[in-house]
Amino acid sequence: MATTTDSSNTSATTTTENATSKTIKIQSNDGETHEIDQGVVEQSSTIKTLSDLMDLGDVPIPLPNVKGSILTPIVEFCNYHKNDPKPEPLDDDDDDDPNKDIYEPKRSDDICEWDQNFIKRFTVQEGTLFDIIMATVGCKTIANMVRGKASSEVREMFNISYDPPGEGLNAPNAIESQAGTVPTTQDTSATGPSPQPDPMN
Amino acid sequence: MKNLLDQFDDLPDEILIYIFKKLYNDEVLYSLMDVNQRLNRIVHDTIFTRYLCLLEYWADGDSTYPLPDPILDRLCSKILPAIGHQIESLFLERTSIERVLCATNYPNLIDLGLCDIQFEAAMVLFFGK
Repeated sequence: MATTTDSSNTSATTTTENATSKTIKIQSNDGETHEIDQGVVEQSSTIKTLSDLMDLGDVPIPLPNVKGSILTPIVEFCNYHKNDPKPEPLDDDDDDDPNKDIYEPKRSDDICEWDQNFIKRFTVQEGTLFDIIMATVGCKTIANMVRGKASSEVREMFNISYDPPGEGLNAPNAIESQAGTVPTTQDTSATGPSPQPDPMN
Repeated sequence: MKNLLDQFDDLPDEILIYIFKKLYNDEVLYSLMDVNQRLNRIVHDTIFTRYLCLLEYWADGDSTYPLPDPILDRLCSKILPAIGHQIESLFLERTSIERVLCATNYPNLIDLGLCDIQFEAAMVLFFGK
């Protein structure tokens, strides 16, 4: 009995090791190639799907949205986190779920120390923060930068020009002529003063 | 160096929404409404306007305190009148209840939470006695 169990365990261990030792290649949009193991693959749904669907052999998976200077730290990030516990499924698509806990706090200040040091390498000034944001923890950093700022400060921080209502591609008329599923921008001149409520009587 | 505006505008709506969802809805509306037309369109989505909790909790989690005055001022004068018709759930703190309720109409409000309000104060507020 003990022998059978040991054999089974050995077999399982070997299988796991084989899965872990399997490597694939990925390639940035400027031709930089990295060889990554299964632990890293598991962290990217795009790469995982591609590697599951296709027997790529030595052909690298192209990543057209990522340049080499960004892919290197991304691989480093994934290698560091490959043994982390699996995250709970994202709830970004279940806004209409009546069972969703709408009181659940949305944390953006829970970046671990390693990740904080990692993200310091990327800055708004050099534009690298916007590159890394497409893939890693940059989203939380941007959210923290926005938190508590007035709209004018946000405009200044990201050097965003104010486009007056009624002009340009994002004007209400232009938006309304599109799909129409997303509420359009307020046109204060058209809205007029809001009537006072009749408080529940 | 690439222009920062281009970089921010290069981010697709989906990524911006993902970022903004890291914030509470009142933070999104206060900081991003009227930044520009594109962000205005995004933050007017019901993802950010359907549910609003206009209060903050002390660390003990049991008691509440109002949002800072500048934020409440802007919410009541500019933001709530623009999105009042989209709000379905509204949670308010004792000292700001009357001000927020009088800021605009809420024709689609189906869930109103009043925190730290005493019975007598509620009677005065809703029935005038």
